[in-house]
Amino acid sequence: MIGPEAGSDEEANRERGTDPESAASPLLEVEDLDVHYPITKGLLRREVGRVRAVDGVSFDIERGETFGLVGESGSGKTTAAHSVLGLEEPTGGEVRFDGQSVNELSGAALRAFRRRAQLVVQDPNEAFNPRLTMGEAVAEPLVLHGMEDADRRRAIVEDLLERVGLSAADADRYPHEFSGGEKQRLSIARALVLNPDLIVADEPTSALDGRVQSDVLALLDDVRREFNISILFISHDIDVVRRFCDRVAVMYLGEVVELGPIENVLEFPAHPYTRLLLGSVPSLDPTDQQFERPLTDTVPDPADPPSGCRFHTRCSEIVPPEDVELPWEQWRAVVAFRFTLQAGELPESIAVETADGKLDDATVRDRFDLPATLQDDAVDAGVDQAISAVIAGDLQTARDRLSETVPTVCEQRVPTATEHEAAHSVCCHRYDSTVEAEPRSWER
Amino acid sequence: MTTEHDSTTTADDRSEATPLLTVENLRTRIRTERETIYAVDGVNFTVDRGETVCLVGESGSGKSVTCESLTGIVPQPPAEIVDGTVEFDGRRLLEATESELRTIRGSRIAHVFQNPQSALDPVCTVGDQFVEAITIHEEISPAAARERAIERFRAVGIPRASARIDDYPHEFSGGQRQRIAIAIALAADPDLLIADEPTTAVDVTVQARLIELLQGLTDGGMSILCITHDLRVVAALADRVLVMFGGTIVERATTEQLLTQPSHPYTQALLDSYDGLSRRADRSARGEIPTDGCRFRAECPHAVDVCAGPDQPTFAAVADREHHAVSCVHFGPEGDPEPILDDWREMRPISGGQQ
Ligand code: SF4
Ligand code: SF4
Repeated sequence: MIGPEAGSDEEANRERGTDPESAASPLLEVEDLDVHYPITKGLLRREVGRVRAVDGVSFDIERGETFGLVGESGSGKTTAAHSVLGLEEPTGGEVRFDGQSVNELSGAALRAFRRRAQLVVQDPNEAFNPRLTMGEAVAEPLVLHGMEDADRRRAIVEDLLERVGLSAADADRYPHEFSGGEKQRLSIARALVLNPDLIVADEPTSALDGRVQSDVLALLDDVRREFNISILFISHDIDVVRRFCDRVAVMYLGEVVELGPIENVLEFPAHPYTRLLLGSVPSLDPTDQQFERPLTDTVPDPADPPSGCRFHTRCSEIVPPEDVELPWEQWRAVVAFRFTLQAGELPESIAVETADGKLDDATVRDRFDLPATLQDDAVDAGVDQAISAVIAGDLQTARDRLSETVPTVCEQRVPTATEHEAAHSVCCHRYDSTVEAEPRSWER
Repeated sequence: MTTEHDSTTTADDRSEATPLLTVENLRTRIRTERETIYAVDGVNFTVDRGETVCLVGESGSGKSVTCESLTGIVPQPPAEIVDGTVEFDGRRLLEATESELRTIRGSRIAHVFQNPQSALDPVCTVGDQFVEAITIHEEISPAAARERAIERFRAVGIPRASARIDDYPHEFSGGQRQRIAIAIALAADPDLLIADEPTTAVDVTVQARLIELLQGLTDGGMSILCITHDLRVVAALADRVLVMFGGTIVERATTEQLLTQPSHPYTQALLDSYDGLSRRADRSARGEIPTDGCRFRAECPHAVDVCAGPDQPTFAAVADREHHAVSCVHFGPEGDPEPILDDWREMRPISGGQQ
């Protein structure tokens, strides 16, 4: 660590907390962040669309807090984290660090920010130049930030190596002499060398397993307590997030769908997508292996996300129209039928037999768990017609019939984040008092 | 899924009574410029027909090298299988020639890896790859092979399989690629599927579908030997579990036994690390793993002089339970396992509090 004497005056002031605002505002504020990539076509690279990798994401991180971002591939969690560090240019919104907009920083202020916010990446093997000793690698940021005294650098590095559970003598060894877990400790040491306030850890333990993974997590936890560092922790592993984070935001297709204290979100998940995620993790009880199933298995293309609530094509809690009177199972079967047709990912039994001309009404109903008659007359008529269209091989008509028959507020309106309980927000129509739908109960 | 194989089989049903796979005293060394690694060092286990056995352990414990030694896919050199027997359905694999092994790999024992990319050829359609896998070992007309491909891709849950069979691997999602890799591995109806971390690289919602797929395979009588570091995957898939450390198996148990009463001190440490920011400070830094005696002794809180060997401690039953045994001196005739079993009572039982 750089001792107090090492920093410039400006840094020293900050460390003593002379800025009255710094104590009050969160360390990091992310507001309405967008990161959109143009999709271009042809020689002129004409923009034909946009991948909305991150779309309107907001969250804060307090000093000393560990904040998790979870989601599956394509959720935008890594892009969001990278744009916090300025590694990725946001196309909209703002990231404020210590009250100052990161995008507007330049000169000394930008250098200070680069020192105060550090990245730890997933694969420790890629983090080090094989030709530098670990001592040189860990000291590199000090050199880049202008510390010229080699003895001081050495002293700082040796001290850090010991803090992360290695020995001072390891400074003279090369990357290949260390195990994966040791290398990850070294990348944590290197992140700490500039005395940061924020560490962005991008899947820092997914290349590790078992006790080594647990050790590295414990190390991160120790350093954050000891130095009051905030951590933005990106992970797909819910067990790791549960152990390590204070609060968590769950992302789906570029948006935050649920955000709150770890025990609320992971023990009492409110958003249907969070429930799907948790319900897909196998239980540790071998006799209880029931998985939660999404409405459809097709993950939409992030370049062309569904309208309204982006999760609606897979949401098994999707809201029925007010005038539809169907038992829950029947409603679910009808919308599953609808969105499976819409995704075009037809079960093989249906698609093959379409070609053979052998498909009949009973086969389609059987495949989609649709009873011979549905309790709601209008829906029943619509589904009948849609099935006839499927049999006739006219999928477009089938889709149109179904979308007329069972429209849903979930595809029509974009849900807004609502405070579900204190400090726990959910972005789902079922939690919005202006929408006629109650949250459903959930049990793992 | 039953695990009572030994007690329910009858003597005259030979194919049921003999395990499909019997591995005895397997030893594989890896020679590098600097050292010789005792990657697999005296491993014994069996896999019954229709059974799923999981090998768990941390990276470097020897679980992958064990599996790759069985059918000779471990690169030799630097690896060398120096001892042991591998008997698969009456055939001794370690003595087999490379071409015999190739036949066995294509038809009887299939491999699936963590990363499906390594198994799929990027410049070849998935349908052609399936057809190739099947025609190497079976006389079958191209049309029939193609039909079989569609049927199998459908069975592993590839939507619109007939339309997608001529697509290239990159045109599928990661989860679908892994399903396709599994379908191709299963093209010739193998008796044994060896899967090395098959769900590690996919998202959790996809993993759930893959687990269902793998669960379904054993219903049809196939056996699975699955390597994983994820205890949740173990809970979902395994009938029995083998825990490896330092090239040796240290504990064998049914899944239930392992998760509720891990008994080897290493297994206890492994399970304890799963849900806590555990006692890092209490543990001495992990250095070299010994290559004789109990490999865990440098880190074991219960170590005594006899743990130093020279041989790995003999397996002894845990509390007279069938199927549950550990390689630890305290469980032997002279030992007292109570302090070790007490340890686990103090640690948080992992299948208790949380899901
Ligand atoms: S808004 Fe509708 S589709 Fe979206 S999560 Fe809520 S219930 Fe599901
Ligand atoms: S044999 Fe000795 S070192 Fe090994 S686990 Fe038992 S007590 Fe520990």
